[in-house]
Amino acid sequence: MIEFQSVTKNYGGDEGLSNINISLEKGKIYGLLGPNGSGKSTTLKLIAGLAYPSKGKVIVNGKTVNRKIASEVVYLTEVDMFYPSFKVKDMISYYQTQFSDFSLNKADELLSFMNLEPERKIKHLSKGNRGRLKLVLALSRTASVVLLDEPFSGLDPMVRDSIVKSLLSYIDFNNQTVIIATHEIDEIEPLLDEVIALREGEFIGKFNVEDLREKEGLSIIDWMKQTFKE
Amino acid sequence: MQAFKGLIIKEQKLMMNTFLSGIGLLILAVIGGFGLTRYFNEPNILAAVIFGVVFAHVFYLPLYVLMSLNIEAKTQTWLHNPNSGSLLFLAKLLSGLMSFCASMLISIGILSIVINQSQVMDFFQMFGGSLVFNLILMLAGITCLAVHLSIWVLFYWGLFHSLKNVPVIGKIRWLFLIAFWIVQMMVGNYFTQLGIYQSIIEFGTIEVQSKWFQFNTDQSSFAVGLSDTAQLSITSGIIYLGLSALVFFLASWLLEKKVEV
Repeated sequence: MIEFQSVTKNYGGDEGLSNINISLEKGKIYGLLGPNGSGKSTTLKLIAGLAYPSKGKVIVNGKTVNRKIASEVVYLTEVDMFYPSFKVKDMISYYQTQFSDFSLNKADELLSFMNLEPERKIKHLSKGNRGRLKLVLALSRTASVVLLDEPFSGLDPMVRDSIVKSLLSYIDFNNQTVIIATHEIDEIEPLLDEVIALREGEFIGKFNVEDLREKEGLSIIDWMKQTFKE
Repeated sequence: MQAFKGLIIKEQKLMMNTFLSGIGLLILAVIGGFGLTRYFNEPNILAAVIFGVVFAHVFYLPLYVLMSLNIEAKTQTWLHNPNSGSLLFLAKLLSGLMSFCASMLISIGILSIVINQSQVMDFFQMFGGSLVFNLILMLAGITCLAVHLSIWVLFYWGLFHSLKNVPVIGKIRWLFLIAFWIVQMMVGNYFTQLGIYQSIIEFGTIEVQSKWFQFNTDQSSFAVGLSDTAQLSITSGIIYLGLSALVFFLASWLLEKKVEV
């Protein structure tokens, strides 16, 4: 489904990712974990075709990734991606014209689920509501890969809660693979099937969350503390 | 088609404030010209200002495209799009061209009003013959030049952002771009000075009975006058069309393959 084949990514003289080899299966929810600068965002950008490997290959659904993979990959960025002069409904209409898998019905449903008014100007939305809108745009698509880069960053617990609820309600767990890059583990721990750990651009490992809990008796946070302390 | 329409609508919404600011500037220039005309009691000032505004449209489209691209550059998430780089760029060009035409129409409208005032007719009498034909020829020239320059803007913008992650050059991208531009000018001049290039553009040159601006410079003076005929080279037009297509293709390639988020 998603495969990294000896992928290295350099930024100028710096190494963002170093010789990564991993494969991710369909229908699972992955947590991409690691400290700042570990390569989480770079990993997601490589899958989304927004950055290209300096060496190696990234393959999604059997295709070597390029820009056109956007038709099969949903990407929620951590940055504020909106055009300030737009209204909520303008952003929805724009996405609907660009992505053939975008469902207006689902978007309407999500807007009311998130209590967002289509007529509101985006520049007048709070940070929390902007975070919610990003998720509305992401989850209104039915693409097989969903990438969420720091979806909880800087948001209060109420917004985080609504994001987790929307993930639970609107992700198609049989057909969509979800990768969530985050520091905020508390909220999403129950959602995750597997975690991938990165440190300074290097792949540390991929672990099944159930195994961590049952065999090693560790929550993800405990495991992270143990792993990243070493 | 739906995707392209969506991109155009997005561009129009994105650049609405810029468009309105442009119209505001245009009106201010006309009011300023009118004020100077009244103050100095010299009717040709207003006509000259409006001509200046019309000619300034050469830079309207390149600036519009650059401003739109710079809005996108803040996040670059517009690149998360399954459509080709050429479609993304084409939408910016076409949307800019629509605003360019609207602004130009307003300028021409004001120009027509001014022309109809008998006081300033002297200025336009200089053009002789058909004023409308002269204007159409001039507008076509301005539009072609504006589109050509805008395509170069797309290319240089794409090149600038492509170099971001290149070791060493990434940190001195501006210098690299300036050096690239100087080399481009030198190569361009070299080719246009070649005898063979001169023979090629002379082939298929047609003379149009139309007044045309002529710029004369020597070491100590600069003069602008009107030539009795305009010379249009069809082969030169074809060469520039081909060059524009090539530069657009290169810009789209850079956007798709080299510009990263």
